[in-house]
Amino acid sequence: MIMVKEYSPVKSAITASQVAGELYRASGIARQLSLAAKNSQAVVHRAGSKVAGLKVISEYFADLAIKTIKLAKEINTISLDISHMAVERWRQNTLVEHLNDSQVKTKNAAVDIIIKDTKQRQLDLNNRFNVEIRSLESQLEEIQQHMQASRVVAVSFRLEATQTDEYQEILEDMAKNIDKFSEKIKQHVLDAKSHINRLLQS
Amino acid sequence: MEAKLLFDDKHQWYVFARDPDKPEKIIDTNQYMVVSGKESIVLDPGGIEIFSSMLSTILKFIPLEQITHLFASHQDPDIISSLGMWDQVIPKAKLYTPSLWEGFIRHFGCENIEFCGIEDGGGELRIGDTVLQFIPAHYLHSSANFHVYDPVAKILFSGDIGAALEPQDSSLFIENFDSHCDKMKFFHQRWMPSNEAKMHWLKRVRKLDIDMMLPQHGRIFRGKEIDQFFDWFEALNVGIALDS
Ligand SMILES: [Fe+2]
Ligand SMILES: [Fe+2]
Repeated sequence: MIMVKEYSPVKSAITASQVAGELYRASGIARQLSLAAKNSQAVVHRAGSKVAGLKVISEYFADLAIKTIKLAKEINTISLDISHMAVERWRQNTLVEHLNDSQVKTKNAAVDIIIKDTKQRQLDLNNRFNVEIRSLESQLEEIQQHMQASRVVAVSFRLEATQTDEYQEILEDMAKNIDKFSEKIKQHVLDAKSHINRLLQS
Repeated sequence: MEAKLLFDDKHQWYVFARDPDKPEKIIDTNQYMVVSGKESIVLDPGGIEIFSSMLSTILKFIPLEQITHLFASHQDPDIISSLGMWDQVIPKAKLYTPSLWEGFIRHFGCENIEFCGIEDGGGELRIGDTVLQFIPAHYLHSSANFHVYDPVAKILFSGDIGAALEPQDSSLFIENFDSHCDKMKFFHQRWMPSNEAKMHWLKRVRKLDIDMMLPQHGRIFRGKEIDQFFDWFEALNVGIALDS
């Protein structure tokens, strides 16, 4: 049997909740990003053919914001699931402790079976937990990559914006905003990742 | 779990409720949190089944270290059976709850959290820059029972008083007082044991200046619905099981 590392259920529940908290804040910013993207789409639309190059980019941002909100939602669901599992494992650990105590006082074959069953359930739960935490990590990774890309695209948006005349200021401002929001979201994702790392290294 | 900011000035009141992950046969509960400065108190943190949802929801708004106090209006499982979990997550916190219930509530597990008993007459507690009052509500329904009043926000947390039994997805606020009474009637008649205690409580809370009354089940009362509730409750005969 492969032994899977078991993380403290108390720490696991806290970590999952902290990750959910970070992603809640990140999705708040993603909604602002979405608004900024929609505004830039509107301006680009008004500017018409003069800023053709900006059209694609502003669509990219609008799309990105939607993707981010969706990912944040998914991460939130996984975090909640992880947190529920951690609490369940916590209760099972407590149960096993108490059952063991009871065995020390009076040994009983039926209780032995319950202990064995509970331990099996703990193992299953722990395996599931490990799988879920990995998928949480990869989804956080995905958002982070999106945000890095977003910052790169924001730079070219800004460059293109300087080519226009009457809309220059307004578009540059939007590019700045998009960059700022992407950076903020990335920071929350990094914080979420460091919460997970702290758990995995414990 | 739904979260909503109810009051936002120098300090904040939040409600956490309508948890979709809650097992079906468990009574739906409203949890509240007051945040002031670097401290905060969770009022009736709830049962063990909603613990993980509560923790996740709270951490959306404040970091773990800022959960400094818990309050349990009385000893019921839907109020505080999660204590054993909080005890490990926020070991430095303090629990304020009726002194009379100490020996009972400790059955939920309270090894780290400091147990701070409230004596029958009530009292006050400072959370950050906010002073909260513990208003006696004994025998409504529990024999030692407190509500929490915030004179600045003009909010009364009323525990099981004002509770209603409703479906999971119902609104947080009362929309129609008259139809809401049907959902409160049985709860108060059957769970509240004493008309004398009821009148005692009414006399006390009618003197308070209240903009919002927050029950632990059901919907939030605002403005004139509060006086309407007091009048409705006054006229209601409680303790009906004795007639059955
Ligand atoms: Fe109760
Ligand atoms: Fe209750």
